[in-house]
Amino acid sequence: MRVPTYQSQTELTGKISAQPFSVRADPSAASQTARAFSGLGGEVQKQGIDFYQRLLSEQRDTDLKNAQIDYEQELGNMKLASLNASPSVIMGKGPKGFEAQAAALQDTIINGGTRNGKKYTGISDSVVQKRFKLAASDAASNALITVKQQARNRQIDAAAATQLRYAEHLERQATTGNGPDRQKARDELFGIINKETGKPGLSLFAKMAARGLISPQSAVQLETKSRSTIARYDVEERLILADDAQSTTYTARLLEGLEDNKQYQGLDPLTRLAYKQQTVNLQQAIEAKQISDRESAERRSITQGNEDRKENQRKLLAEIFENKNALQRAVTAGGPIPQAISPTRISDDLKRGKISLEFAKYADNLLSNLDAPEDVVGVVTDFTDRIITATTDKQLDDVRKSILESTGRTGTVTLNTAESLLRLINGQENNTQEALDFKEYRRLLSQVVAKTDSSGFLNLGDLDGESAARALDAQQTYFKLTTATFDSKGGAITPMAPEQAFNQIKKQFEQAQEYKLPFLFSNPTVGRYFGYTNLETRKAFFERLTTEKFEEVRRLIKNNNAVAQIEKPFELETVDLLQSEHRAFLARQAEKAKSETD
Amino acid sequence: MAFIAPAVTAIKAAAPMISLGATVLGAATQATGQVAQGNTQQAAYNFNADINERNAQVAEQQADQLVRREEQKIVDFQKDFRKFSDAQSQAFRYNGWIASEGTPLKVALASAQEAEEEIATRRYNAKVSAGQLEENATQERMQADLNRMYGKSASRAGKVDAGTSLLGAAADVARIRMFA
Repeated sequence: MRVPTYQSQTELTGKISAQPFSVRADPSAASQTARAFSGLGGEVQKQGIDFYQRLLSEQRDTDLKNAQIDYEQELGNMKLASLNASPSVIMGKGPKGFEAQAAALQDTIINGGTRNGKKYTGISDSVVQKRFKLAASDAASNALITVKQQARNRQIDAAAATQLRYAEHLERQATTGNGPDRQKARDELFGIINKETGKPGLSLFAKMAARGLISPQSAVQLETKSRSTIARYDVEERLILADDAQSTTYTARLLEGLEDNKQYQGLDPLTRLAYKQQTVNLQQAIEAKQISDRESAERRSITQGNEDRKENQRKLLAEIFENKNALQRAVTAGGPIPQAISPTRISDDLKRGKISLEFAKYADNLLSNLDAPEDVVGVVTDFTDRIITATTDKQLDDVRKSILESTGRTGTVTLNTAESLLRLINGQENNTQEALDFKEYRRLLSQVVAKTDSSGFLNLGDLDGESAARALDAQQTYFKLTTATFDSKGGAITPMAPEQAFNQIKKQFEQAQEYKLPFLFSNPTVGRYFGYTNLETRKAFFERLTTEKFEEVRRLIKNNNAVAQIEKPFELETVDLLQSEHRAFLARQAEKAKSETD
Repeated sequence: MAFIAPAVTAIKAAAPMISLGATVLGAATQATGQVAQGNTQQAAYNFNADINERNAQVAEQQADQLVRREEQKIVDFQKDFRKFSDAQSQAFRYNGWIASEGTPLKVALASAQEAEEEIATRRYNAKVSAGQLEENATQERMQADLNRMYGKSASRAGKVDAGTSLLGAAADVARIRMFA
């Protein structure tokens, strides 16, 4: 029998209680806080450094800039002041020298102190000090160069200016001096020409260039300019001479010289051309002036001749009328008969040109009493119009000639009227107050009696025959009243003032207009004698008149001493005209009665 | 409000010194942080080294346990083989064979030889496995050593970084004062 035995069932385990740990500490993770702390510190340091750098940099920049501004400002003042100081002092090494002053200024700005009233606080930062010294040295060096250059330039300019003034003096001497002086000045300016080589020596300008006062290029330019100046002076002197002498010979000679390129060598082609043109212009101007002078002299001679002739004519006319007056007085008063003016004198004066042909004829007519039968009113009025509207002497001369040609036996203007018209022309020529008054009231009268055109001429075209005749009569009456010095029988009378004549004629014209008369109805004399009233009609007025009444009025006018002598002929003429008009009225009335009977 | 302008001026004037103070403070903070960072890292590395040490001990214990277990198994095997050998002998004897001579002996000897080989192989395998675990233990110890070395290095690096930071800050300040 098999004996059972116990067999252990459990095997020994291969495992142990302990297990390898997989846990690991991460050093990086573990040190995060410290790293962050370190990072914070680093950032703070970085920012601090950054700020510190910026602030310090800015502060230093500001300090440096301030110091530089102060320095350069003061340096600028010093530069400005150096312009008025002596160049040798400024350029020197002494305490007043620019360099020493700049160094002293630099020290003052760095260490602080007062300079020219300005206080400097100094620079404490050594870095700023160094930088400022560097910048200041730079600025001072540049300024020193400028100042020295300016001082040197001033020295050169002063010397050059003296030389250039001397050159100008020599240029004038070379043009205006006498022969030897001119040559000496030219030699000095442009160098003495070597007789053997023919080459010129050193000019004044070349010497200046050699001394460093001007550049060689400027020397050449100045020499050319100087030659040009001398040539210009020369030409202009000749132009002035020609102008002063008004000599075309001089201008011709100058023009010949300008045409020759060997003369006036300093002139450039354009200037030479301009001078040629100027010379030609002067020559033409001189020639034109000579022609003009000749023509002017001729004109003056003609004008003078005309004036003389007019004066002679005036005198002769006065003499003739005086002679006639004297003759009249002698006849009236019975005195000695004056010697009449001889027609031979008239012809002699004409031959000598002392009087015109027209005047000679007129004077001859006067002496011979060869008068026109009567004045043609329209012609006289036309002459009057032309006289008062004339604006030139020639127009007056033309009217004078026409008047003189209108006299004589077959003429349209009587001798007395012609004399009045001639006197009116003289008054116009001399612009006398009487002439001015005549003109003014004549113009007013024209406006009253008829329309006038823009020139002041009577415009009768629109008037009927009666009105035109009345207007012309008014004009004629005005002319006679204001200009006549002789009555129809040759007696001397005094002309009426234009204003008085105008007022009188105006009234007469208005009355004549009322009675429809083609002539002026005189007032008050004739009207009073005929006893008319303003209320009476033309028919009633004419029916009252008789032939006896006309004769009575004529007698009354002649014997009335209150009526001026000059008015009497007109009053009598009016009575004649009135009687003529009365006859016409009666004829028309008779014709009317006959036709009614038939 | 008249005090504002002088105050602003005073602040402006003191601003560079304030920023300089901030720089110094920042640098000091950074240096302190860097030292602390080094120390913390050293502590972490030391901790890891301790873990490695423990793991090495665990591996050694595992190797020891492996050997013990295999020896136990060998004892069990020997027990089993003895039973087998007895059964074999019994079988021979049952079949009329003398178990202690001739072929049964040869067979018994061959079986004994096989058993011995089996035990030797088992012991070899156990030794190899224990050796592997001991290798692990050695590696862990080496890692521990390395970690301690890293810790020290981190500590030193922290100090050096702190010094570098302080020196850098000082150099920056000096440079700025010289060239700003």
